[in-house]
Amino acid sequence: MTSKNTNDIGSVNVEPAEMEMRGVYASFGPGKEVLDNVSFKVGKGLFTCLCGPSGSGKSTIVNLLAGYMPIDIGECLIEGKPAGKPGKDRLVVFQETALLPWKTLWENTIYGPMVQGKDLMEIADKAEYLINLVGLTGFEDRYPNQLSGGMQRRAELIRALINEPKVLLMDEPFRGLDAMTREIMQEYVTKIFEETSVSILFITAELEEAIFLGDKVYFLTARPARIKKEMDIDLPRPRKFDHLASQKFLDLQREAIKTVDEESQRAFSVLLKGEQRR
Amino acid sequence: MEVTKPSHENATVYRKYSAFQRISRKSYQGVFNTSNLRGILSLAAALLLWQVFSKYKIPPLALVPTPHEVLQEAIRFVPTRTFWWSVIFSSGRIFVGFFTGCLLGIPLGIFMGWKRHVKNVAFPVYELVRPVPLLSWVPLSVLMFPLTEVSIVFLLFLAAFYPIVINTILGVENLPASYVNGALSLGSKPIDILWHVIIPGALPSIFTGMALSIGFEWVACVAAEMLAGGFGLGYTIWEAYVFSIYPRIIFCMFAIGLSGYLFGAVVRAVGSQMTRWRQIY
Repeated sequence: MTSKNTNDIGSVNVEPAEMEMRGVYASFGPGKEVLDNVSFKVGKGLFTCLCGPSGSGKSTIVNLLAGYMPIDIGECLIEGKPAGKPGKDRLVVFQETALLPWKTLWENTIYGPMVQGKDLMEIADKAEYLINLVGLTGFEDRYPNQLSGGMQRRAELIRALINEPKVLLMDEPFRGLDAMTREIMQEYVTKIFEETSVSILFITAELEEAIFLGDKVYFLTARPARIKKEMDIDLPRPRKFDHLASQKFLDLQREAIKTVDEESQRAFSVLLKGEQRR
Repeated sequence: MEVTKPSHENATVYRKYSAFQRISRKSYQGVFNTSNLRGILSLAAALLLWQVFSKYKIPPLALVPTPHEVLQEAIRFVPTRTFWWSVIFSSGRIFVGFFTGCLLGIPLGIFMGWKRHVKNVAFPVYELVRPVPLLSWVPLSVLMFPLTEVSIVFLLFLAAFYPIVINTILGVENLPASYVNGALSLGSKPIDILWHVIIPGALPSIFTGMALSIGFEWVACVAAEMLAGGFGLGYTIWEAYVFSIYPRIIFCMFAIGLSGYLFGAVVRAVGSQMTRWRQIY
């Protein structure tokens, strides 16, 4: 990174935690089974990616972890304890922006601590530090619809980070961004992760993105989703875009593509069988 | 890495955009620009057509007074006390009806949109009563309230209440779930959700309901005054009809149109001031 972000004001102190999903089944009714015995772990201070085809129930996993949906079978644990209701220990960065359009960037950033009744001076320092960290200084008084897509996603990131969550749940946060903005965003997320060491669960449909960002990648099957494979990514940190061309990255990518290919072949044959039966 | 300073790049784009805006504003400057002239032209044509039709007794305007007669009547009628009392009475009734409609309709709509069980209880009754035409309430409201004034205001309350409630419900229900979920995760209490998410989010829709209801208010007001009498612009129209002062009827119609427009303009202005975040780009 050549953009300089000297952080002499404030900082966030994140205490990363471990989060786990154990034996979870989910269904929206007969024939609409979504999750089939899904178990995985978001390691403490690790960047965990969940990679699966679209419509495989990735968002359901986030909704369950965040506590927006009740769990019928199985459990979600944070630091070994049931996660329960939505709380600021695990925050979600949404697919579509969830910034409040009637609040400025600044008001959106400090929203969490404000409703929790935190000390305003302390919040202001942190907000300033974070806004600087993601390169949004000077845009504090803009409303979300005055910001570009990439800027909105960054604002969303720091709106979560200012609460010093133990785990950050990112539900396809770069979906719908153009390739260039996506690259910039990947860089920012890497930077934030490496500076704060917050535990991140990053959900994506893109193989390359998952391997480039993650310490560990879980691959999901098509619906109903099961964990197909887990892969440890031992690319060195800090991650650089040069790594995309390294032999190691290519090997990992080849292995992952094989897994995904098997899965799509299987999904396709299941589809064909269904057609024949009809 | 080539792209390193996204914020600066975006700042340039923004500056460029506002320059475009400045250009487009410039071409629409002046009172007598092309689009305003077209409007004036069409108004003049309409007046001319009216004058010709009623002067040469061409149906359906054969018995209708000419614009000139209406203007003369206006000059005669505007300075009178009757006219101003009529305006004050009608406006006052509408204001009270509109205000009470908002006072009850907005909170009810918000809770019906927000809490499923409130909607389950209240919506069937609302939805059953809503299709009943407003004017069919006139006899009942006269029976229900001993004072004529109260029964007229009750009608005007109903006229405001329905559109405000339904638009408020829609405004709350159309808010993306991620706004509420996100705010919940960030530690919001129910009162924070209401104050920071639900109300500001539903505000544009609430104001749409209010602007709509202003239209219904004048319809109901004129009808109620014609039937239940007393004072007011609607009553003045009826009186003028009975005493065959036809130019006055048309003048009062214009007065009602203008008042309705002014009321609507005030509501729209307040609305756009309160939802400024929507206009800024």
